[in-house]
Amino acid sequence: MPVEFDLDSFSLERLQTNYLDFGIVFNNLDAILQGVLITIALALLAEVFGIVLGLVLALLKIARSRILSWPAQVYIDVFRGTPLLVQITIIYFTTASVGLRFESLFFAGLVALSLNSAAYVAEIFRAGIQSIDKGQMEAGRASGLSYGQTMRYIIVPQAFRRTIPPLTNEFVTLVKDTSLVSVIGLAELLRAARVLQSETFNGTPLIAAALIYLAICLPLIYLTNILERRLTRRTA
Amino acid sequence: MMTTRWLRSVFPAVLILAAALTLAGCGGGGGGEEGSGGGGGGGEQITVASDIAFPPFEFTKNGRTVGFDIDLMREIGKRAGFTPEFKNVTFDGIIPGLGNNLYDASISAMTITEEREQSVDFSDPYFNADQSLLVQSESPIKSVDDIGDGTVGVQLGTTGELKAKELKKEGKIKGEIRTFDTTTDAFSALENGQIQAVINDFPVSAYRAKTGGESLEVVQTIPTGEQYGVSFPEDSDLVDPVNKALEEIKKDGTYAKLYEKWFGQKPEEIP
Repeated sequence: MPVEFDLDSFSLERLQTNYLDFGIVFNNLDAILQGVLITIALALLAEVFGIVLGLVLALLKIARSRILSWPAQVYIDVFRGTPLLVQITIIYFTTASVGLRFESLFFAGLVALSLNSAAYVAEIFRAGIQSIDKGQMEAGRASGLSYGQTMRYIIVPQAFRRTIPPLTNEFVTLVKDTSLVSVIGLAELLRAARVLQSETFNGTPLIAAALIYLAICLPLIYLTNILERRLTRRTA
Repeated sequence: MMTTRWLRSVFPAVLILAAALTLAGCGGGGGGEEGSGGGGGGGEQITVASDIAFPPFEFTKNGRTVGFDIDLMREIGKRAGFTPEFKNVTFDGIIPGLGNNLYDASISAMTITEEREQSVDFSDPYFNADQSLLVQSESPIKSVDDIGDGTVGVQLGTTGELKAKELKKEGKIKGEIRTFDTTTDAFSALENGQIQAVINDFPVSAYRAKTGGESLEVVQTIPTGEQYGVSFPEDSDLVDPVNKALEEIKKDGTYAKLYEKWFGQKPEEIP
């Protein structure tokens, strides 16, 4: 039998003691709060680095020169086409043998998340830039601005506004993806909860972790919806 | 028409397949006999159950069953006058199998516990299943007292993790205890110099140190009181001769030799 359901060990009381014994969490609040802090810091910093690197990648990708666009395309394909968990594992566990050693788990996680996020952010920016009417570029060029100047002063600022909802969405994804960094041993929220779970053999710490992720992500998800609605109203 | 033609062509094929399987079965049995007879134990042949997927205690290498347990059992057989024929079984099937007299004995890195002793007989302990401190070969850490601020890696949910936390409480570990999902991850982090020590099951760490070049080294074993034993059906006649042979093996240095062969170092203490 692939799955067995033991009715004897199923009761309301058991559900309560195994999933809702929040005393365990409050007794170890320090470890959990530290995990929350690491998770948020990791997501915020990765978002910032992802935006910087992603903008560069997007501009390279839409460049007319193949020498510029091709490497950006390869980068984006590789990071979007492979699991983040694989990327994290490769970055932390294998690079030491070729001389690149991450002393800090936080930094290793940050690098992996930023590199990964940059690929997605690049696509967000590319879509944003290409959604700006072609006439804008033509007008810019006609009034004597160079390609770069038109991009910088006319296209990118307009595109950036349109990318705010998807970038907020990307931040939500990042918050959730930080849990993957637990695989290298960083005591972010998930690992802090798992350590507590393995000590107490109780599922409550994981439920608490899930609730905390939810408390961070859900408001942002609704904010994204509001931003999107506003944007369509303005541009329509 | 179609059916008969189909049957006519398939039936011989089935016969041949059946014959081949029967032959292969015999061949497999013969091979096992040959493998275990290599030690020249002589005497009667006994069936020894083992979950042969647990290096370095019992595993398959180049198609042959090898390991510390395997060598030890052959040596015991040589002295007690039997030839073990190893039967590969799942670990959880060992005790029920012994209970139904399907096997004469079992050696499978099995910890002696009171609970198990209610259904089977155990030999005297033959292995101390201790924890151990694994470090880089050049490390200044020689025992748990030297760890200080160093980061210690453990596998989540293991005895090693409990031991590390205990040491942290005692103040011997002042740095971070980092949990990994697998021992492999902890070992690579240690090899990379990202952590300074790993506390883990001794046999697993020792085998890693021995097979992974010279980069890692077990510098200390940490006793837990857990010991492995050979198991038998209840009231088996084999218990006494096996204990006697085991006693000899421990005393005359054969045990130390086998231990060193599989774990790369001399035993700190013989059970």
